[in-house]
Amino acid sequence: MKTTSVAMLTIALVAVGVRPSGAQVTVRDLEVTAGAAVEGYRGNMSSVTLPVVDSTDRASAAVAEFGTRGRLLFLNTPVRGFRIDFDGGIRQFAASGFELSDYAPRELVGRLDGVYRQSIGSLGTLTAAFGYKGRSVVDRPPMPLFIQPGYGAASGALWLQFAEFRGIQLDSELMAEWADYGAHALFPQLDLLDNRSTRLEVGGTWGQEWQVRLYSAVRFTDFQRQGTNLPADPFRRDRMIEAGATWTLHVPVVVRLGVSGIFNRSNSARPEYDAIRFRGSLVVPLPYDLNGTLYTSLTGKNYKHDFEFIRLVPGEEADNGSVAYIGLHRALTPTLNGQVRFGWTRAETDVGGAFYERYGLSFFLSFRPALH
Amino acid sequence: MKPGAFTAFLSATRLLVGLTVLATAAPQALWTQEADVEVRLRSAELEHNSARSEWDSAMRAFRAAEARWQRALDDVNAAEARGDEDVYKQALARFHTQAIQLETQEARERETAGRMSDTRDDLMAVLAESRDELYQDALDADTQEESRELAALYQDRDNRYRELERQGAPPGRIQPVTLPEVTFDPRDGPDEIEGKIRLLQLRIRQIDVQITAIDERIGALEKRQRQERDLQSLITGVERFDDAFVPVTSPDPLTDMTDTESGGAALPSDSTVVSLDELSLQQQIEGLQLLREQMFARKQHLEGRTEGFRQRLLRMTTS
Repeated sequence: MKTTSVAMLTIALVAVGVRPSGAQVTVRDLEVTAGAAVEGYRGNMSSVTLPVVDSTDRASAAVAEFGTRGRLLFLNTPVRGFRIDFDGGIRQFAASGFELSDYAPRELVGRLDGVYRQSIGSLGTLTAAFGYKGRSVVDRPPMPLFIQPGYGAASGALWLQFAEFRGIQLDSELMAEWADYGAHALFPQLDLLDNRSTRLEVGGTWGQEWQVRLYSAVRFTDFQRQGTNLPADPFRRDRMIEAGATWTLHVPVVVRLGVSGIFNRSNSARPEYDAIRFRGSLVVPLPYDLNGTLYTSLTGKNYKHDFEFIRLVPGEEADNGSVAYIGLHRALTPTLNGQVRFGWTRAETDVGGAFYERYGLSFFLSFRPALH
Repeated sequence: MKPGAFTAFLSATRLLVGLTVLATAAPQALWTQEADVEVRLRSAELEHNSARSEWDSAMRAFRAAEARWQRALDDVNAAEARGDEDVYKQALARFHTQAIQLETQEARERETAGRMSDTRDDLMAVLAESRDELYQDALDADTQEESRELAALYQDRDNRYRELERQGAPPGRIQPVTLPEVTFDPRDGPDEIEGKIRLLQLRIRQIDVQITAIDERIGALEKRQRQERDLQSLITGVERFDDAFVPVTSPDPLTDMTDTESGGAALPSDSTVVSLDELSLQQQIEGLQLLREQMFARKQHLEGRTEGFRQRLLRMTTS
């Protein structure tokens, strides 16, 4: 995918071209990670977005990955600031257990975000951001080894954070996004996922030792390639309302818990649903200088209309996946961290009510150079 | 005219012309050389006075920055004693600013001191040259009166040279002023000196306690920073390849826009991704490390002064 290549090249140039000791640019939070994993997959089902189907209901893969991320500060004063965040990586699978072939899918991902912050006096702080994210996938295998398809997505956002008033800090965010999925000429189904969306969110935060945030958001999404079979309103348009809360504690352990309710309505009957999502992240100190981490997202969904056989296009409304990741971390040297991670995923595929599962055990080494 | 006579005539003419040129040009060259030295001396004086003025100004600014640093440090200690974490963080942020300002002023003082040292060396070199010439001129003077005049000029240049020599180079590194009132007094006896040593040692112990407290706080912050980095590492590792968005959802919104570089601690939207508060943690750690360095410098200074008093006491008791 050309756009992804451009993004990766940009990231590489930025990463190579910047000197940590340069007077103009400060590098923060630079991390290089390499790791290996073994993964297992369960669930035999077809997928609209995959050209091949395999009869196996179990597969496994050995996985190797390499990634890097960091932050470049070009300007950082109390009044204004400008930074670029970058993140990129490559992941190679060696799959086995399929009836048809031994697949060797490879993912290449990259992301670049620019963020400009400007103080607007006693009113608060205004932040403008733009970003591009891209990924490409080679040799995408059939289910149950699910790998996201390639896409490119550009986004822009304005975020206004008001000054604290009587212990409450209000904020508002307006975001727009354009997503283009990389469909092959002989397999155009992925183009159905192309979309444009706009999201407006308002929220309020209070608390010192722990913080609570209540927020509400509305999102408008146009799928310009998905037809509705309605001559008067031929393309799918979704309207989503979300309301939720997060609770955060930083000391003595870092915990963040969130719950949100989602109401999705559309001019197409299939993707109308109500959902509830719980998300949480946690880090706790353990004996032997270990830190334990947890990251989880659990979603339950109820479709408004009953169809005997709902054939979904992945991405349009199949966000009822549940994931849980548990990690054990230990500093091996002042700049090198080791991490063992166990991951579990259970998600609905193209076919409504049909789920696949994924288990993975990974080991990572993360290098954080001392930049001061 | 015979050829030999013509050659002799040419030689005599050349000799006359040469003597004439020498007779007129030599005083001019000597005068020019003397004027050149005077011009260079004047220029060197101006350069040195300018450099000295700059150094005085930088030194005053350094002392002012040091007084502000001390007040900010007092605020940090007071906030820590009260146990109010928010007030402590604010005081630490202010202290960090003052500590950076103090470093900046110290660097400025070093820079101006270096320039002053260079101009002093230049001035001394020109003074020495001028002084030596005047000495020679006084010896070669035609009259006694002229010799006396030149000797007076010589004496003034020599005095100026010795004055600069006595001033010496500016201190290479500013010694921090802690307990400035504790100085050696010629009237001090062994008891007074021992009392001053005890006072300095008490201050050293206080600084040791402060350094230990700073180390503990740095350790706690680094532990918290590592926790947050570990969680961040897990989450970014999962999200990098879209494993957290299954099967396919619209790509996640822009990365969180919180800008904790400025010390803010705003939250990302609906995400459970941990806030990148670690950057403000990093700033806190850097501030404390700077504080530790500056406290350690003061401790070393006090130890040096204590040792000086001990030496005096030893000399007193052995004599």
